[in-house]
Order: sequence, then C-alpha cells, then structure tokens
Amino acid sequence: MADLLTHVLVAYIFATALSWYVDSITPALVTVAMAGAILPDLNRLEFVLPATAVESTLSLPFSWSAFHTLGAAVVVSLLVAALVTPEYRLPVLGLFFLGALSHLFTDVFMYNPTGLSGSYLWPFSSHRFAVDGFYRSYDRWPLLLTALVATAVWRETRRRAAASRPGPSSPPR
Amino acid sequence: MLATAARVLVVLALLAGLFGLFVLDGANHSSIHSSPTFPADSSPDSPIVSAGPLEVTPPDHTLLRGPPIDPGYWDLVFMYAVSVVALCWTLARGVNRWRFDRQALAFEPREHPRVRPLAWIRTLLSRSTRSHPRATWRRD
Repeated sequence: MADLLTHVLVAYIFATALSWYVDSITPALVTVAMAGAILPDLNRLEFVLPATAVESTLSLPFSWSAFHTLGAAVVVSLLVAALVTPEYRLPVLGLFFLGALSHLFTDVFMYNPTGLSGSYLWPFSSHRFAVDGFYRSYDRWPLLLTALVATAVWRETRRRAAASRPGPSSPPR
Repeated sequence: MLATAARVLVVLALLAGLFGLFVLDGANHSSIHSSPTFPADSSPDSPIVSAGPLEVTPPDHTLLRGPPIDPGYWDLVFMYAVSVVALCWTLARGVNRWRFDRQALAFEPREHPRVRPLAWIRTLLSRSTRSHPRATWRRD
C-alpha cells in the first residue's frame, strides 16, 4: 500500500473528474469511491484481531489479506450497493468498485524486493505482475503529487460549478 | 416487506461470501504478502536442475531482486498518521453527505449536506475577526 491518504486522493481525483462528464455523480457518490479506496487496507484488521486468534476460535483457516484482492472488491462493492436505496445501487456499486480498483492498480506499481506484485487478482487469478516498482509505501512524494492534482481537480470543479450557475437576474422593473 | 427480506438475504449471502474468501485465503496460503521462494533445500547459488515454475510457499528463502523494505520510525509515523487523516476525512464526508432512512432501512444521500465546510470555515474566521481583542482596542 501507499499511504491510505494517497489512495483516497487518487479515488477522489478519478471520481471527481468523472463527475465533470456524468451529472449524476454527486459529491456523495465521490465519497463512496473514496470509501472504496479504503477497502483493500482493511487487511490491517490483523493488528486489531489477529487471524491466528480467529483461526483458533473457529478452528478454520483464516486470513485478512483477502481484503487486498479483486475478489473482496467485488463482494464488498455488491454488499455496499445492497445497503443503499434502489435508485443509487448501480452508481454506488460502480464507484465503490472504482475506488477499490484504483487502490489495487496503484499498488501494482509499488516497489517490492521480489520484483513481483501481490496476487491482487485473486481468486480469479493468482498472477503476479512483474513490475520493478517506483515508490515505497512510506515515500512522501506520491502524497504530495496526488494532493497537488486533487487541489487542481477541486478548483476546476468549483470553476465549472460557478460557470454553470445562472448569472445574476436582471432587477425587477 | 418482501423486498426488504430479499435484501437481507442478499446481504447475508454476501457476508458469507466475504467470510468464505477469508477462509479460502487462509487455506490456500495465497497471502498477497507471501513471496516466491526457492525450495528449502536449494539456494540461488546452487545449479538449476529442473526448469519449472517457482514454488510459492511461506517465506523460508525469499527471492530478492532488490534491497529489502526498511522503513524508519518517522516513516512509519508519517504513513500511519496520514492514513488516520484519510479515514477521518472519508468518514466525515460520509456522515455529512449520507443519511440512514429508517423506513427504507437503507442509506441515501442527503438532499443538502449537514455542513458546508468552506462556508463553515468562513463563518468561523469572520467570528474570530469580530471578537478579536485588537479589533476592540482599535475601536476604543
């Protein structure tokens, strides 16, 4: 993972830029994409409730790392879509999945000493991408870069909103 | 009513599916953090006796192509601090933009956000300017 703020900003950038072309993508739905970007890092639940504790309690094999896969992105996107009112199910499904996918996609390019990415496509495929990687999870520059782009996207969104508002109405006679 | 019952069933089925993924991942040892390795009785220096796919097992002899990841104390502080900021930001946006409809038993976007952050900041700033002691002193 890059730091979580970078992932959330990437999802914000994608979803907000999409909202320029798709009117139905409101700021509420941009938030859904940001939440989707958090999903893969829920594997950090390992720090709160270790998988070994779950295994010993349930007598079943268990691993939180499944959160960081395409399979979990699909299942949780469907789950989140089922929790909203019917007219928002499809956009919530799409944007939550977009957020989770943006996280997995950016993690493919993270530096790994093995030269291979994680098997993020699991359980559909165990393929690992051979990528040298050009950032580490604790590097500062990805956050600076995404923060700059996100600021530019935010300003452009405000400019577009101001431009689309009707001008001052003529005073009543 | 029937639609709500069906939706509850779907949610339960999806939760079961998610739990199944955790169990399957645990069973297959297909943890994304595990690395391709040499078998325990070989090493990178030993001659290759058979050509085939590298075995992926829990890391005993991890194949490394580059230096290991070794974050310092402040690197970890930075990483987790900004991650907490991301969680708080997203949560605040969610609460501000979404509401739970008790009748429909579902979440839906608010018609108007509870707080408009920029307007709220402007109000705070204007209040603090009005109540600033120096401003009072100037008037006196």
